[in-house]
Amino acid sequence: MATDDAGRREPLQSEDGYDPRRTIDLSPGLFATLRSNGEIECASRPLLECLGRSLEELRAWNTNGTVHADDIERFNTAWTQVLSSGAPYDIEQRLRCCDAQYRWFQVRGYPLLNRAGDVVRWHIQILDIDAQRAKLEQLRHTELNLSRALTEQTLARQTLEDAVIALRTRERELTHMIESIPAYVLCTDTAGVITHINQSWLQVMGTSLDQLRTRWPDFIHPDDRRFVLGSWARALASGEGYRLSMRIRHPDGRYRWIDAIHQLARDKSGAPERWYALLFDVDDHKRAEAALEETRARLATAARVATVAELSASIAHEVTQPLSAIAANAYACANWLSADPPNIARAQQTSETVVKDAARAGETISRLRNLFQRQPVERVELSINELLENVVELVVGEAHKRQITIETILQPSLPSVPADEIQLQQVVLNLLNNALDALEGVAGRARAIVVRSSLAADTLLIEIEDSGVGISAPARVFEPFFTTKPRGLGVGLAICRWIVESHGGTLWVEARKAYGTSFLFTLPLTVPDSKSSPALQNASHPAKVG
Amino acid sequence: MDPHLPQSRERSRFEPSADSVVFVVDDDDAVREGLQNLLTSADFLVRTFSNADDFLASAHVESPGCLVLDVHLPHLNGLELQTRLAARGDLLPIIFLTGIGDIPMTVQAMKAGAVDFFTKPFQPAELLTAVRRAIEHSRKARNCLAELVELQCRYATLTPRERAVMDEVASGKLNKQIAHDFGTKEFTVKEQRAKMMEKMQVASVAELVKVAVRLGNR
Repeated sequence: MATDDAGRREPLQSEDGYDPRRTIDLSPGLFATLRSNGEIECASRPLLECLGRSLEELRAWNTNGTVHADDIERFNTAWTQVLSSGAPYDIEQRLRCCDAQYRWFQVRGYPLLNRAGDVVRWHIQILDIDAQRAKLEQLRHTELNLSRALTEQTLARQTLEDAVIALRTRERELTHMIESIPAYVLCTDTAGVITHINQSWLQVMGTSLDQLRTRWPDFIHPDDRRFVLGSWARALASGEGYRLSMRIRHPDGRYRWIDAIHQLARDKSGAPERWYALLFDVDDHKRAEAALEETRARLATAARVATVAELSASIAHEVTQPLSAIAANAYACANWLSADPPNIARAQQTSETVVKDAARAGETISRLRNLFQRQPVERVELSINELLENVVELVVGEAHKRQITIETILQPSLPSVPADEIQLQQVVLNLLNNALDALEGVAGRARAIVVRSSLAADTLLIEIEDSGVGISAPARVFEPFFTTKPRGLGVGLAICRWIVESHGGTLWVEARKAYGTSFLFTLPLTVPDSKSSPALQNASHPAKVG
Repeated sequence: MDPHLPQSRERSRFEPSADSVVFVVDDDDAVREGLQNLLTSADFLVRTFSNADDFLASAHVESPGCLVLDVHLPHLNGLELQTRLAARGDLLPIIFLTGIGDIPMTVQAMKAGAVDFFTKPFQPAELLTAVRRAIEHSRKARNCLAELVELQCRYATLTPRERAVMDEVASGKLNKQIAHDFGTKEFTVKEQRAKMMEKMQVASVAELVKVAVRLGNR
């Protein structure tokens, strides 16, 4: 039943008897009809129920809050336009419902025209679009959030990309650095499995990471392998870094000395993370060092042993050969004579051989003596300080090994002295070696050698002092074949004295007060007459060396 | 009497057999010739070489003898020659001649089995004595080796069962026990045993035990 203004009932039936109100009332939709002036003519029952208003109340829609205050102006404007234009309209607005809540509705108006084309009525269809609107709103909200998030994400990504690019650049730089530094880098996990080897190492080794990972011990020199593997195993167990030298086989089959430093990297909590190893090729250095060491040793030997022991040995060898032959032949000669019958021919022949061999022995001896006597002494002006420093340099390694310090107290700008450099080197070296030996058993006090040089009048004074065990028979040390050393020949000091004296100087020994010994020698600045220099055959000198 | 001079009595006592040779390797001509003269005058057959390579190249293993060797030789030294000889199973006893101060080399030579060494200049009489001893040593070693080779040849002709029987017999078992061990008849063992004794050319169990010991089977 269509609700109507009670006071003014008008038939709504059309010419064919159709009553639109019935249709409106029966329809579940929300409908209303307006007069051409905009006044509400009738409203469907569901509409009135929905809004909780009577038709009368509904007619006062623009004053009683039926339309939401925020929408009313917009609505009025639209409505005014619609009324004047007579065009269909479609507007969304909030209407207060029976529960006093505003809901969104879509209000569509269709003009009903008479034959003259004037609007006679408006058919209004109202749709509850609140849920739809809410959803849309939600959707819009979501969309907004989404777009905001998207923007943020884009920004973040941009930042991230920038960071990644920066990181990559840095990484590239670092990698480039690691791959190309003139050292080899490798890293392993905490179990010791190689995870990375830098390019320069792989190139040098001419192999792949995979091969090195499993077969790296094969590349180590067999003599070093046990030591290297042991050190590595200990380090893995203890977590303590270490440093070692080893020989590594290179693609050409040659071994090169490599120094390796291993260090454990820990994470923030202190737990082992990975091992880093830095390897340097020290082969050239090592070789140079070995060569230097060898030269040093050879020089020392040449100076100390070759001149004395080796000379004696070679003299002995030269003489023992003919002596052996003489003995054998002489014995044979007796054999031939005592044979039955005596072999006179062989005996005679043999005795001639003996004479020949004896002559040879004599020749050998005189040749050696000549060698010693006529050896021209090459005198050049030399700096004694430089010579002392050079010789100290030769033994400093050995001294260091024996934990002995060598101090040099050299008077600066000493005049040069005419001398045979090699001979004087031998003297100094010999005295230094003696000093080192004297300190062998010393404990509980400084193990020290002091080398001094000074000038007094026109004579240089060189002193080599040790804090060693001292000498029990200082008067005898210069005697040939006097020795306190288990392996000594006892000719070193005799030769030293001979050399110093041939330079016009003197060599002597002084016992230090508390302990230790000083060997001192002088060198005159003026050239001594070479004819007056002592010859080796002189009885007071070590002629017995030969 | 001067012990350094030759003694005719000693000489007559020694009769060097014609098949023994004294080899001398020394690079010093005078020493080499002196040694040759000395050894020849003492009735030895002497062959001299001035270097180790020439000596190695010459055949000399057939006869007993000894080698008088100088430690200092060009190219291959005396110690290296000693090593080479040992490597090829040469049994030639070596007497080294060394110089003064060659103690480490001498020690090494003696450790490697040299029979004697002399420091130059040596005493000829002592050297001759050492040479005689070395030759005797060489002869014995050679005989011993020849004997062993002969025994090994005989042993090689035994069947596996005969070898087993030999082991059992040598360990003092009776035929009955052996038969029991092998699960055969005593008669069979008896036959195998007789065959084995015949092949090994031994007449008694005692002899067989000796042979087994020599062969290292006991």
